[in-house]
Amino acid sequence: MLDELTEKLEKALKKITGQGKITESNISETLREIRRVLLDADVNYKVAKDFIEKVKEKSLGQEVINSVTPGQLITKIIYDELVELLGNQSSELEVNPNGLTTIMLIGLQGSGKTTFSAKLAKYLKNKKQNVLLVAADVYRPAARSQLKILGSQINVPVFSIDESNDPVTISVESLKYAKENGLNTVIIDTAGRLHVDDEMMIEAAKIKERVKPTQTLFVVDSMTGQDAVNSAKAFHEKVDFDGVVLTKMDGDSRGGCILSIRAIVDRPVKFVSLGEKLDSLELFYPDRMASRILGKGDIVSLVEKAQAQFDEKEAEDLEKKFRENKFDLDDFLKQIKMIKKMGSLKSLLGMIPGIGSQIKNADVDDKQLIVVESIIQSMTKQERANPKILNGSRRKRIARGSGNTIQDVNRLIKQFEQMQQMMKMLNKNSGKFNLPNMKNFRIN
Amino acid sequence: MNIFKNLLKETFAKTKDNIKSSIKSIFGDTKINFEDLEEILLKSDFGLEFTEQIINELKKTSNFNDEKDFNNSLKYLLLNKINKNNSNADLDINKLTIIQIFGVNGSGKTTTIGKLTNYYISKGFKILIASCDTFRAAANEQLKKWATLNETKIIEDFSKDPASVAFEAVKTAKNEKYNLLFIDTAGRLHTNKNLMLELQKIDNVITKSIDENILKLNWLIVDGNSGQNANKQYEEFSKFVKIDGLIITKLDGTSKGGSVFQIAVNNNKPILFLGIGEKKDNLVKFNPEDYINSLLE
Ligand SMILES: Nc1nc2c(ncn2[C@@H]2O[C@H](COP(=O)(O)OP(=O)(O)O)[C@@H](O)[C@H]2O)c(=O)[nH]1
Ligand SMILES: [Mg+2]
Repeated sequence: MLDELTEKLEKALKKITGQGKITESNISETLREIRRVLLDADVNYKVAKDFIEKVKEKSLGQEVINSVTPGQLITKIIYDELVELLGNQSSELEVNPNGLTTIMLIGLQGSGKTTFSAKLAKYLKNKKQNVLLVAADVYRPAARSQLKILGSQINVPVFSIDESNDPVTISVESLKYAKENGLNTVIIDTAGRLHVDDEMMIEAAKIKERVKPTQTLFVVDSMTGQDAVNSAKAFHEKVDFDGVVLTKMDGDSRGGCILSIRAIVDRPVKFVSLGEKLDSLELFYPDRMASRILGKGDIVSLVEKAQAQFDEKEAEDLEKKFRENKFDLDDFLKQIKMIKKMGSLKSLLGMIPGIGSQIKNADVDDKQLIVVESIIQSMTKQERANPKILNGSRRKRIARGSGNTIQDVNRLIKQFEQMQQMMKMLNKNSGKFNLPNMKNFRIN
Repeated sequence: MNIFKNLLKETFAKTKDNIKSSIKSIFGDTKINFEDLEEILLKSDFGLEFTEQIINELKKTSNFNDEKDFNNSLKYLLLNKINKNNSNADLDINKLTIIQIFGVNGSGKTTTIGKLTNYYISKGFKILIASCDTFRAAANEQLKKWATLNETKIIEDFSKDPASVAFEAVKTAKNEKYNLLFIDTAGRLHTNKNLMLELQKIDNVITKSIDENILKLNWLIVDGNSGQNANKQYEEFSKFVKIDGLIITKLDGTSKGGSVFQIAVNNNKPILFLGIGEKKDNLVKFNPEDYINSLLE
């Protein structure tokens, strides 16, 4: 399935397909389209601008190598750049190995701190930690009760001094309480505050100074718009934090604000919170986030395809085998595995620029891939390398071993032979050719 | 009204200076740089499509000689686009009005009800509040604290589902001659079908239990920090319940609420109030002229 966005990109990319080199003029439309994608995803204006500039720099003058279209090349550059900006790998929460681990949560009002603190408590409790939740939001009506109720739902004690209106005292006292009661992890839920509220920002800094948290986490609503840069910058400068938590990710926000935040503050994203159930917590995966920002996976599939094509060594190997007519069933299996890794066959076909819109309604059966895979896997090494030896009794054995009919096996072998035939012809016609396009994989 | 104006002006002082100096610099080159204007609008969460539309129209409709001209054209254009009908917020005290408040989690629904109650009490209304957020821990208690602060009665029943509480509240409001009933609902993401259906159910129950003497309104609360996802919030919520008006919260920070402005324009819906803090009087009635002036003057 293609959405509007992919179609637009396809159109933009078409202009540069078939041109050998990436130039300023042949990528300008693509870059404009990418800019639109980023802005629609709420990436900050300035961050998007810098990002596009960087991608442009990296793309210009690049030779478009064999088997990759310029469009694919740019998409790959964009994706890689995005993943890098998002922080390359997922980053775990740091703990204090011998002593008290303290985690302080800060953020704007309504960003989801209290819900997240309970989720984190549950997560750490499941990791055999003895957790204490601390109710340090003394401002919002009933904030303390909310935490107490959540704590009781997950069987985690909640520390609160109901008669105190001083979050600093409450936080400091909670550490004593934890030590006295054999608890090793303290999660401090502070009140939401605006980054322009000096008094409140100083208060947060004070709590931090007194508690000296192992980790301070900045909790951000994933639906945040352009202003994310301002709040993140202020929280970073006035309080500082070790990591970011992205909440309400069960919605359909594209979450571009995280790109803005990462561009402003070099702090990793530690958790993603999705849903109101107390176990809906995930670690952060930059590649998934990149996909989300680019939009619903369509462009990403394009990117993945580009990346697969980028496995140049493998591509060269295979090309050599084709050319020398040494392509065997083992190589065929390798290719099928590659296709499977990239997602469903139909969606994959849909992503290929140019043919995407044509096969929108074509009937492509992914199950066939599994059949083919299982059949080849039931063959011996010898048989895979030299299908000619596959006589009747071997075929029967393979059919039984793979749980398919003998007709399935016959069909596969016939198709493979046809493919080899085709390769031979192609080799004769042109001295050089690209990796077989997915179009050639007619499985039925 | 003057206090409100000042409050609003203060709130937007930063934005104003920003835009002012940007426009100054635009005219520094004597040539109008629409790229700068684009940046200003984008940064305020107006969204690319809407921003491009404004710029295109501005290019078409005017030829500018000086800063004042440019300013006026922009102001005039924005003012023309926004639905100026915020009379929805001027309620008839001689009949019962029921206002259902909804929005995504943490957008500021409960706090806004606290502030709205304070606002309408000052206009002489007798107000009842229904606590239909039976989901969030201690939500009831939070609303109750606001009710105590405002000295209003609250209908609550933990053991019942939200629709039943709403039904109960409507009955009480009718019997005890209230002028205004606020229904506080649980925050819900617009992508959660079940919760959206629950909201629809509350809505239906209320609609069924009223007659033409009672006015029922649905107000969507949107966090002023939200970006383009606010569009989807509006779209999805309006698939399940009719939306009569919008309220933007948290405009006491540095965000501008442009995404909601854009929604109001595209769907011809009034923006009724702006939330500018957590205290009971941190609410101003939306005045398009003031709003745009504060942005551009
Ligand atoms: N600064 C600021 N905070 C607000 C405003 N409106 C609500 N809040 C805060 O945002 C948080 C969530 O508000 P709440 O009313 O509980 O949201 P609900 O979940 O939609 O009912 C609370 O901490 C409120 O105090 C506002 O206009 N300005
Ligand atoms: Mg609430």
